Order: sequence, then C-alpha cells, then structure tokens
Amino acid sequence: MTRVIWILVLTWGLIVGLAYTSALAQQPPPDLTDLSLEQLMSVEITSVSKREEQLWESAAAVSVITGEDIRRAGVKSIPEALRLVPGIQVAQFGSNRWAISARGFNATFSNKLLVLIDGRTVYTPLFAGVFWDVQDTLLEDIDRIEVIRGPGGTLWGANAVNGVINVITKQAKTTQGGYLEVGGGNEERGFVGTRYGGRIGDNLFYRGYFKYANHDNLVTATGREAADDWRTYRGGFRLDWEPSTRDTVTVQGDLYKGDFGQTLPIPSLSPPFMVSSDSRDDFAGGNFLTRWKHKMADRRETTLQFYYDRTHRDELLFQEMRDTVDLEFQYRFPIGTRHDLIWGVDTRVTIDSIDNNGSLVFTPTHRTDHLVSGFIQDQIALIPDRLTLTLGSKFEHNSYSGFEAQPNARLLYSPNDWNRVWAAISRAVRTPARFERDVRVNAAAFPVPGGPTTLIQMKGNSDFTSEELLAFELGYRVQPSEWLSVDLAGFYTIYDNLRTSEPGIPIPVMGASPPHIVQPFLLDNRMSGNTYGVEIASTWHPVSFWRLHLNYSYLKIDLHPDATSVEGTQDQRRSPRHQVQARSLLDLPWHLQFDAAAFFVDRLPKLEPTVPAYLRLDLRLGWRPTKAFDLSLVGQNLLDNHHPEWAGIFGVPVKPTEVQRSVLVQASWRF
Amino acid sequence: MNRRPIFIRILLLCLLLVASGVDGVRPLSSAHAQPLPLEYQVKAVFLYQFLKFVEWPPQAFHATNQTICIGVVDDGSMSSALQSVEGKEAKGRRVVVKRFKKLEDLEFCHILFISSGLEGRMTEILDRLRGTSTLTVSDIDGFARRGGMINFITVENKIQFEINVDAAERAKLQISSHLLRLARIVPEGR
Repeated sequence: MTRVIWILVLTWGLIVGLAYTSALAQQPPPDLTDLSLEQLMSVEITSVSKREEQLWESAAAVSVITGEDIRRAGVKSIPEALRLVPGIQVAQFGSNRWAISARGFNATFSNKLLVLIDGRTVYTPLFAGVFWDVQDTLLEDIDRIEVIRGPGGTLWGANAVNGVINVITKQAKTTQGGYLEVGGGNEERGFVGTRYGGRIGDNLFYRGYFKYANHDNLVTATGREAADDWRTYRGGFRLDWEPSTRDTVTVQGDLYKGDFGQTLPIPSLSPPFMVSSDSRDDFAGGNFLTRWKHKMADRRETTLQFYYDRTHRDELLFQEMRDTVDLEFQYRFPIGTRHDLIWGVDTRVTIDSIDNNGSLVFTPTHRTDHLVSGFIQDQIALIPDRLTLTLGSKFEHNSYSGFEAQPNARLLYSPNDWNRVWAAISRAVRTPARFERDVRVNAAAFPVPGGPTTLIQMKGNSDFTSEELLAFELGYRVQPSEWLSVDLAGFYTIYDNLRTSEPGIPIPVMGASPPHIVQPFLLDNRMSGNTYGVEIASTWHPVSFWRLHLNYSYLKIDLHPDATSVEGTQDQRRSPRHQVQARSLLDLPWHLQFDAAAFFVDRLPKLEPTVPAYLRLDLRLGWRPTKAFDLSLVGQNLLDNHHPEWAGIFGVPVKPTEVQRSVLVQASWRF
Repeated sequence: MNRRPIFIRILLLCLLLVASGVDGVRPLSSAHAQPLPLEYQVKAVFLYQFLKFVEWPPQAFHATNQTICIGVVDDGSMSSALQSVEGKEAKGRRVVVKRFKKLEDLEFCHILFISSGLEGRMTEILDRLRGTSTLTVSDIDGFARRGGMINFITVENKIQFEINVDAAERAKLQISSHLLRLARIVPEGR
C-alpha cells in the first residue's frame, strides 16, 4: 500500500512539476484588447475573483467548494459534497449517517469540527457533533462551502478545533426565476426540488424552495439490505433587502421533517446479550435567521445577527427537543492605514428536553445552557502589501467548563503577486457536551463464568472538562500562472485533556432479575497526544475547457493515555493516514460535460471490524443544450458492488452497513 | 514498515518541488510580464473599450494634444494591467495611462479607475471630480448607486457592469446605446 501511495505522490509531483514549467513557458497572456464588449463580458475570470482573493490572502488552510463544483460532482447532499475538500475525511456508515472530520479524531460524532450554515451553528451540544441528516438545503442554492482546516476558535468559538465548515447560500438576487429538478436512481430513489425567486420594487429580492428526497438502504457486508432507508421533506425562503446602498438585511428560514430506519445493538442481561433492534425514527425542525449589515465610510462595518433554531429527534434510544436562540454583533473598523480591527459579542441560550429509553438516560432531562462570548482581532500591516500579522483572541463563558480563552497569531508574507507564505499558532478548546456530563448508557453485557452477568455502562462525569489544543501551522500557496495553483499546508498539533473512559467501582445489582454487576466507565480527560501532517491541493487548468484538481493529505496521530488511564489509542488509526483525490472537469463539444472523480482513502485498522482502504470512482456525463435545460447521468462508487467506510457507534461494534454502487439521472429546468 | 521515513520523504519531496518551483520562477518571470489576475486584464480592456463608446464634450480634448487618457489611483494590479492598452488608439488618439500615487496628484483624465481599496475615500474623490467630464469607473460595491458612473460587478465569474446614467449626464458624457444595452442601468441611491 505504501508503495502505491509513493507512486501516486511521485506522479502527482511529476504532473505538477511539468505543469509548473509549462505554465511558466506559456506565460504571456493572450491579447484581450481585440475582444469586443460582448466577448469581454463572457470571459470567465475563474482564478482570482474577489472572494477567492480572500482565500488566497488568508493565513490559514482554506478551501472552497463552489456551487458549480457540487453540481459537476453529481452529489446530492452536503456531506457527500465535502468529499471534494482536500484533507477532509467523509465516511458514510448508514444511509443517513456520516462520520466527517478534519485532521483526525473522526467519529460518529466528530466533536472537533464546527459546522455553520449561513452563520447558524449546527453543531449539537447534545453529543458534540453534527446530525448530518438534517443539514440540507436545495443544493442549487449553495453559493459555496468554505472549509478551514485547523483551529478557527478565535473567530468562531469553542469546538472550531480541527476545522470549520461554512455552508453559504446564494443571495436571492442571483436566484431569480423558476427552477425545477427531478431525478432518481438505484440509491437516490427519487427526488424533486423546486425554487422560485422574484423581486419587489428595486431593492427587495426573495426566493422560496421546496425539496423532497427518498433515499435507498445501504447494505450489510453480506449484501443484504439494511433497514435504513429514509425520506426528507423541506422548504424554506430567503429575503435580501437593500434599503439603502449602505444597508443589507437578510431574512431566511427553513422547515423540515423526515423519517429513517436504523438497526441498533441493545445490550441485554440474558443470552444472546446483544439484540439488534430495528427502529423507525423521525426528525423535524426549523430555523429562522435575520442579519443586518451596515457599511459606513472608511471600510467600517457592523453586523447584527439573530437566529432561532428548533430541532426534534425521535429515536429508539432517546427523544430530543431543543430550542436555540443566538444573538451576535460584530464591528469592523480600520485604525489608520495599518490596522484593521474586528470585534464582536455573541450570546446563545439552548434549552433541551430529553426523554430517555432505559438503556440511554440523560439526567437531568431538561437543561438550559448559556454561552456568552466576545472576540477581538487586529490585522496589522507590518509592511504594507508584504507582511501582515493577525492577532486575536476569543473569550467565552459556557455552562460546562466556565471561562475559556482561545488566542491566535497568524503571519502572512506576500513576496510577490503569485506567492504566499503563512504561519500560525493557535490555542483552541472543545468544550464538554451534554453527553459527557449527563449520560448513562448501557454499552455491552457479557456473561462471567460462574458469576452474574456484567453490564458495561458508560457514564458522564460532572468533572469532565474541555479538550485543549495548541496548533502550529505553516502554509505555502503559489499561482505561477492563471492556469495553475498549488496550496500546501503542514501542521503539528498538541492535544491535552482528550476524552477517555475509565473504569469505576463495580456495583452489584442483586435484587434485579437477573442479578448482575454494573461496571461503570466514567468519561474523563486522561489522554494527551499530538498529530502532524500535510495537505496539498493543486488545480491545473491547462486549457479553457479542462480543469484538473489533485489533492493529497497525510496525517499521523500519536496518543498517550496517562499512566492512570486504561484507554486504548484507537483514535490513532480511525482516521486515514493517506487520502488522495483526483478530479477532472471537461467541457466537450455539443454542450456536453464529462467529469470524473477518484478518491483513495487509506485503511482504518483500529475500527471494529477493520475498514480496508478503498478507491472510489465517480463519473458524470452532463448535457446542457440550452441555458435553461440540463440533463445529467451520474455513476458513483463504480469500482465495487459495496464497500465499508466506517464501523462502530460510540465504540460499540455494530453490524456495519456498506456504501453501494449508485447510478442516477437528473434533469433540471430554469424558467 | 517504518512510518516516519515516508512522511519525511513526502515532506522532502514537497519542499524540493516548492524550492525548485520558486527558484524557477525568478529568472523566467523577469523575462515575461508579471502574472496578473485575469480579472484585471479584462477590466483594463473594458476601460479601453469604454473610450470608444462614450462621447466626451469637445472641451475635454486639447486641440493640439492627440491623446486620450485613462487614469488610475494607486492600484498595482490595474496599473500593470493597463500596460496592455497603453499606446493603442481610440477615437484617432493615442491612449495614455496616468498613474497617480496620491489623490492630491490627481489630474484630469477621460476615464478614472478607482480601485476598491479606496472605498473609504470614494466620496472625497467623487467630490473632487465634480464639474469635470471624467468617466468614473470602479469595482467598489454599489459604486454606481453611490454617485459613480460605471461599476464593475462579478456575476458567476464573469464581469458585468452597472451604469448610473444620471451621473454620466451630469458630467456631460454621452454613453452609446450599445454600451447601455449591455449594462444594468441603476438608479442613484442616497
């Protein structure tokens, strides 16, 4: 396997090296001065547009997936779109479940990745992680997904530890008119989505959307259908109003509901000690967000944002109802020509109500948690246009771990127009989730010869505290020509207070029938560790009709449970050491497009059962005879009938489900 | 299998690549023009085309001086991009590009490009140009609505433009219907 990787990396090196020199050789740009106005207006300025400039100038490992990337990948959900991001691990393990992380520590609930949709955090404080099945919108409305690998705690707050994902939808101004898409296939059994956008007067734009999707089961390792098919319905709106040239007001909201199947292992005190329960569960929710941006002279800008989010899940093991209210204010102002300051305050209240099944219990069943935070960041032009230093910190107070500070320092060096070098040191924390304080869950039961059955019970711990990290990052970007860019990031991260589970004193429960012994495992913070790695993303655009992306990431995790801990070091190999992505986007004559994507993901030996390395191939053939009509045929996971990408829930072995080969057809109209 | 060496090998390879790349860039790039964002190259040609589709009042031209002028204030990218049109002909006159380091140095030009970095001083610049027949062009957000004349906007990675016809008329400029047809006409805001 190592040899394969080595060959891949060498090939990549060769391609990029060649591209680099050939790009330099074809340096003189074509003469544009002979173009007419109409021709000028149709030139695509794909390289450094305004928002990509932000990416180019940021002292962090940033990638952007555009709406066009998503469309041409033929994916039908946000988690699947994230496969396109260099350095992100996406592992699907149920038809509606994904384990997604950056820079390691992947898990069913990857607790070190913060996810936001249009400025609304969708990280659940219940388990610390994301319920990916409810994070959706009409994909056509997504403008871009910005991904920051590494800590983003200073701006985004706790839990933005190993990465931040920002899903940003298009402004209503750019989604005018009607849109309808329908499609289906063997895995995406049927979907329909529609949108209509219009305007009222000169300054008010709106849109509304609705979508329905019916997703097929995955299969078990033996090829049998798993009982995890699911359906979702959702709709929403967005209004963008520009009452004056200095003000923009956005109001948006969504409502959704859906139902899904799952098979859960439930420990039992009598043989066979673990029963698989099929369950039909559902979720529902909605959110409402409003934001007011006011621009003043001298690049001063204020933003005021409010959102409300309600989410409800009704699963076999628990029922959760959660309301979250968040109010945020930001002010940005320059001082002189050297300083660009931004500060903000944020307050959030989240109220939950949890009904428990006997094997999973949260005590108390109701909780109200508060979060108050403030941040300040100064971007200092040490040498104008050459050297920029960003200094800042977030200070927050939460109901679980109290006061937390998350400072960072970043340096960006711009020797010339086509090179950027950056370095950063940051501290970030992952604050405790409700689960880690308040849960009691039966994990497994096993017979003891000659004695009573032992029940392993995982328990929350009121002393559980924040996980901490200190990250050192170094990055380099180069764009030797319009047609080639390479982005390199390396990191070394030191973690402390990582989560472990430690045995407590066994409790005999003799009165019960059958009599048994409860062996509690308390969640604790007795592990430290470090990770290091590199992420390389390259884009080569040799001719106007062909674009290639090649990404590689390497990750090494070393964990050290402290001397008093019984925790193993499974996390070390639950994230792939090597990942390679190659994508080709080709525009053909007769309005055809042919796109291919290959993903290599290294094996995950510390999962049970072990997940072998896999190579995934996706192809798409698109036909767009007119601007209004689009037909595409997509094949995904073409190389095998089915393969596993992940296994295990909460460390408990489950019957894993596997991802199948999928084919789908989609048609869309604009009117 | 030892693990550390492969990591180091990869790192070395990357460093090698980067180092060779960087070293390769210097001598080559000095021979060629500095690579410029395509965005500015296109915008520079737009400015040149605007010369052909706008009529200035006769007093905007020297009878003796056979030149027509594009001005740009303190913007590295646009100022370099304008090299491609410098010396070309428009309206039978030679195009000259004037690069102003500071606002204080501003002189009359038929077109003045105001880079988005100058957003904070936009009002000041527009005030300064009042009463002259300068066609003001910028990519500042909402420039045309805020009293400027032509505003570059980026729509789906393509450059389009907005025109504030009233502001142009106040400066006694006539914009050809061909240009107006391609533009979004915007009203003046506050």
